[in-house]
Amino acid sequence: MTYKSVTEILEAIKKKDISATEITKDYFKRIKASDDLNCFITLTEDSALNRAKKIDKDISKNNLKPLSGLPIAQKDIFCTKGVKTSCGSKMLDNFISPYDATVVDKLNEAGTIMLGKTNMDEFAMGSSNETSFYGAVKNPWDYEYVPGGSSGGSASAVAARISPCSTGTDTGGSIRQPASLCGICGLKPTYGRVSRFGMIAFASSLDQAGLFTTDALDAAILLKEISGHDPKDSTSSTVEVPNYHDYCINSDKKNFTVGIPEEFVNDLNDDVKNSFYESVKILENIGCKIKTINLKHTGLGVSAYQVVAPAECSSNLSRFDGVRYGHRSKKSESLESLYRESRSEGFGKEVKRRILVGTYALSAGYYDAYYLKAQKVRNLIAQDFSQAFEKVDLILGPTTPDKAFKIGEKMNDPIAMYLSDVYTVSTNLAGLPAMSIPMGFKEGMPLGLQIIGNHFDEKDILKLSYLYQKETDWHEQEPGA
Amino acid sequence: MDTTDSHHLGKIMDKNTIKKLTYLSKLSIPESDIDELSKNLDNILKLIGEIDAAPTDGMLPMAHPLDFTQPLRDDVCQKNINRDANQHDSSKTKDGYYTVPKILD
Amino acid sequence: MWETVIGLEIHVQLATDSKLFSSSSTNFGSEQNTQASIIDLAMPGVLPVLNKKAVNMAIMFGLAVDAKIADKSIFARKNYFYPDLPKGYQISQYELPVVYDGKLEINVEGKSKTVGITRAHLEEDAGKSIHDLFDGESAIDLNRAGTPLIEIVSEPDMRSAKEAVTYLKKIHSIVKSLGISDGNMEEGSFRCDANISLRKPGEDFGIRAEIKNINSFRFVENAINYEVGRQQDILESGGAVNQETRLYDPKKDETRPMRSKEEANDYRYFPDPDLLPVEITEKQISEIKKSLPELPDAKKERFIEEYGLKNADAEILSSSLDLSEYFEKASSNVSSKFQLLANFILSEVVGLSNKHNLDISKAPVSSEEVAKLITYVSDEKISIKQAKEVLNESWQNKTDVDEIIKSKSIEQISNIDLLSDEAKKILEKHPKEVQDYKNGKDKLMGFFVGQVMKETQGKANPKALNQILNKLLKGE
Repeated sequence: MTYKSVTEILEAIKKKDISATEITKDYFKRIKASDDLNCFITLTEDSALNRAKKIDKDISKNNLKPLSGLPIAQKDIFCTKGVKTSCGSKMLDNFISPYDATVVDKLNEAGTIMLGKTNMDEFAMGSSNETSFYGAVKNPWDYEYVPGGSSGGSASAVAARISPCSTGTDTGGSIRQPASLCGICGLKPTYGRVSRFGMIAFASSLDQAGLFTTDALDAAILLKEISGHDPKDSTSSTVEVPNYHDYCINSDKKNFTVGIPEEFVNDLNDDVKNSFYESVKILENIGCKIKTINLKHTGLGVSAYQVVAPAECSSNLSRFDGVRYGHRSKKSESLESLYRESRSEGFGKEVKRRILVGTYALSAGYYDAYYLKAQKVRNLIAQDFSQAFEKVDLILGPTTPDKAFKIGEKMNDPIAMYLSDVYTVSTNLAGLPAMSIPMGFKEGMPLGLQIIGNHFDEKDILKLSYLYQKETDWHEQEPGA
Repeated sequence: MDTTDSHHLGKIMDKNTIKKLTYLSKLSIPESDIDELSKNLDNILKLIGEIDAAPTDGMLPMAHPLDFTQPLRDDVCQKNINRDANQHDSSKTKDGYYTVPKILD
Repeated sequence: MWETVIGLEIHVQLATDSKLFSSSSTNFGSEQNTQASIIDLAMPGVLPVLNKKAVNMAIMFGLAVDAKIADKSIFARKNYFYPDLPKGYQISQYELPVVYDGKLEINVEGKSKTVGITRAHLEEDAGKSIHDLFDGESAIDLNRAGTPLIEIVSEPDMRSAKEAVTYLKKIHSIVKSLGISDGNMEEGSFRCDANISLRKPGEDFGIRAEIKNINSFRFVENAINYEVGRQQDILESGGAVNQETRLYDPKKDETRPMRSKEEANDYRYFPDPDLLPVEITEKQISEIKKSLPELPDAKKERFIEEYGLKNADAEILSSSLDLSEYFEKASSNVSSKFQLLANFILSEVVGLSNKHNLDISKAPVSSEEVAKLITYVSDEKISIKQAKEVLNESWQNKTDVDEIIKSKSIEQISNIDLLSDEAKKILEKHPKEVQDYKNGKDKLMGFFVGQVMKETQGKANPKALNQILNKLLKGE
């Protein structure tokens, strides 16, 4: 039998139906058969099998950890000790990290086995996975389509069932949007829920690590393991980490008050609208109370985001100067040319655009009009949400305005690309947790439902997703089946 | 330092502005790419310029999504520095120093 | 007539064990890049975590200069590229520094004045670039990168190089007294930039030049004096001073413009999103206040009160932590004669220290030994002149003063009978001079004293001898 979900795998290993080595080998077989998806930048087969052997030994001594033997794919934005960590960029094509990110550390500690490092938009800047130095990732539902981005490799791998789960990062939608386009679950926790240490920074006040799984229970299991305060990350929260899985299974809460913002549904095309309202009906049947709400300023989300994120990125990416690690140009006769040529050769077009926009937004004379103004708009958007959460438990909408687009379709139109994040960026600006779960199809391509919660209320997002998935089978559908 | 009077949001990204920005950000853009870049940047400025009209009077700028304060670390040394691992890319070092083209003054 | 206007920016390395945002050591002089952790190297993905002790030290400084302490303080990024700055930005403070609005009173040539302290903020130090190690390449050592600094910015309140140096010395003494810095200027723990401009009295401030990285008190004075002269020449010949950054060259004793690498620099300060606002509570401040050591001004008052020192001596002794510690240790070993002790330390011990270019804390003659000398002087066991000689010898040979006194048998003869016998012998030998003296040639007293001293190899107690001679000559 082929094991598919995290829950199934952990159960089988616990019962000794299968060994960690067997399951690891099985996944590498699947990965190799789907090589043309281009999900991975680096495979770590040897170290994975060594680790599986060690874990099997531990298991034989009944030394079982919460995630013992679970294969996982890590987005190549997380630093992994002794393993190339490229962040999808030529800049870091030769970079071997001397340390592990906290997320990687925690997952290792919990017993997972890393299959490899997944492809991504360069420095997580993109919504299609086309800006990767390692080439576009394909959507397993149709290879002509993008899987979304920036965590495209991680999403595509879980959708194609070549990894049971994977990590991602979400700065403006980089987990939820690809989850939506690939027909899987993608959870972006509250800002500060998961440590950012060792996660290569794009926009520090927006970045958050999260997960891809096929269903909500799997996400609940994994979230517990990666969450919690990290003394190495000043912005990580000390709020207690609940047992999300037990809450999903045991709590009898189901009559959530769910708000639907008019701003999220007004301009939808018919297919997305239909899928969305069918989902709303299912939630009503479960016992949820639906309320129409307003998030008046979310329309400004993309604009404010496109100031804040580039501003922070322009500073965060200054360390890639070719001096201590990373790409150094052969045309480095002077210090100035070392900097300029190394950075110009090492970074792709989109990254350079964002650095330039961010530099502009922070520069003398423009700081107030752009950066400071955007931070005020950010506050407006955050206030909209906090007012909404006085009336509702959770907020619901589509994750993306439409199904996946074709590879190449938006590559030369940055604005169109940016607008594919229109429903996701606001939650990053406000630091809220949100999750995308499958809600149907349009022309054979998946659509996602976004559930947004209040700060640190991942448990209710997961609970509602879990309830929804008991009533639906969208999440069980596989590409190519 | 309110400068909204002296410029208009969404103004054209001219060559001089791009030159200044590439100087500050240590990038070099080939002449042949400048037209496309400046067109794209202009469009982006138009998009982000939409915040100009937002009613933000009395709003504080929000630098962090969560309202908590900086945890502080005790002044304790950890001696776990592995220079060899940090300098795995030996093409950039000599005798444990990082090297760059000679800096003049 | 031109009025000189000076403001100082002082960078003080804080004496923490670990760096400002990482837990690597701040030790000076380790092998290159062995104290640069993944955080100091700005490896991809690393994050800063603030050192509590550094914050407390900044607060201590703020309290010492009567400043306000921010209840909420923010760290900002200062963006620029340089190889000794691994992140491509320095974490510093821009808006809301920890310390602001302080003041310091200085005394110059008997006149006291107050210098305003605009702010003192925390920031991280850069690494070091070494240009003469390799051919065609500069070498980068990042051991110092991330070491905590406070930058103390004064108001443009100083009007002469003397005032600037006095202010600088007092800040130096304060940070050392507080124990927040070793103040070592040679190792770069205490560095100073000076902003200098000239104006006609009563007019607006002139255009200023910034003189960078002046690393000794003497250089500060020289650099300012040179710069004032330079600007005066320009202004008097009808020219205008350039607003620029200049470097002081102590070898040539001149300032010259830095190669303008800072062409159109724009640091793009913004709040560091990796760090949250630092909250400083009243409770924290009052606890630090309680643990604050005695500061130079209070010490001076105490020296006057407790030891009866002259104002000027108390001022000098209290201005340096090492000096005041030396004095206090010595004074605990003498029962009186504190002023004598102060004089002796300020002229003799400090003199020898300066001559040998040593910190007084490293003087080879301990304060206890000096206390002995002063006790012997006050007991009239030795003369002050002898005390100086013994000090010199002890300094050179590192021998105990008692041993020197014994081996050279330079104890004074204060015994009246012994001295009387010697004096009588001399008078008998020189009847003519005795007669001349009695006829009014007072100067001959010196001759008699000299003769007795010669006979006793200088060991006669001069005071007792004088009395005896007087009695013998006048009593006859």
